[in-house]
Amino acid sequence: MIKRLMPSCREVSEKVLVGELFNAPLLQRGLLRLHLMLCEHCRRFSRQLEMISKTVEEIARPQLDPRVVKAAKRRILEHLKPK
Amino acid sequence: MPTDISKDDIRALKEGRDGAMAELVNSYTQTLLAVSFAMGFSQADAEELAQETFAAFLSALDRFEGRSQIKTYLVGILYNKAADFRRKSYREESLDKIQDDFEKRFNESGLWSRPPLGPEESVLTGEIKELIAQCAEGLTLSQKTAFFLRESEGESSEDICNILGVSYTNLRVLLYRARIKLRECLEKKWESGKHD
Ligand SMILES: [Zn+2]
Repeated sequence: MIKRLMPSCREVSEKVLVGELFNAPLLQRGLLRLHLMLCEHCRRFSRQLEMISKTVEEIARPQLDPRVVKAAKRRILEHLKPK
Repeated sequence: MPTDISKDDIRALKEGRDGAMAELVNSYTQTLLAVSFAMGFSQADAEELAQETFAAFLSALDRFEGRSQIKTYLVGILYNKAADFRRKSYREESLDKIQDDFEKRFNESGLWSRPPLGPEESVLTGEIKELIAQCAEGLTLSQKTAFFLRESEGESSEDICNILGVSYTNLRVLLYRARIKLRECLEKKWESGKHD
């Protein structure tokens, strides 16, 4: 029974990729967790995706030097003003 | 920083009132530069893009009907400018290939036929971060922009779709493929290092 209900590795990795691992319906979520406990490949896949999300989140936050922004504002405004 | 500009501000811009343009530039330059940096543009190019975005906005003020937030609207203009900018050197890779390669990692019953390699620890080390950051440089403009708007600016999916000019389904596929690509790249870099 469990075996028939158990999602396949492909299904698990699809869920991980669309970020729906933890908001699946209860039964499905339980089965996904169980699969991850039992399957080292999917576990590795899911951990890597987590690391990727975290890192991307960080690099998506660009460093902005306030001086750079200030200088840019001044130059942009200069350019835009009708001559 | 004001979150948005009012109808009065737009009127002031149209009438060329003193200070209106400065207010606009002061309010949105930082965001426009941040998006450009996240897209991978240099400081000089980012500034040029921001400037062109303002210029385009000002030259067609009538087209802005206040339906969307001005920020979303401006980032949309910027995105199109950036795409033009990149068009010569930039090709959207065959997207089906990413999907195909991924499918091939499973057998008919959906089990891994080529299981994932790469780091298996659960701790995100500086080394892994560095590899992922290198991989992220290979993302497409739309993927980079989508990640930035989502992760850093916390934009809604609806606004991101408007900015990129894609449907909700497209956006999901775009992020899904970006993640597959990043993971494959991480695996390759990790395995080609001395981690065997
Ligand atoms: Zn599995």
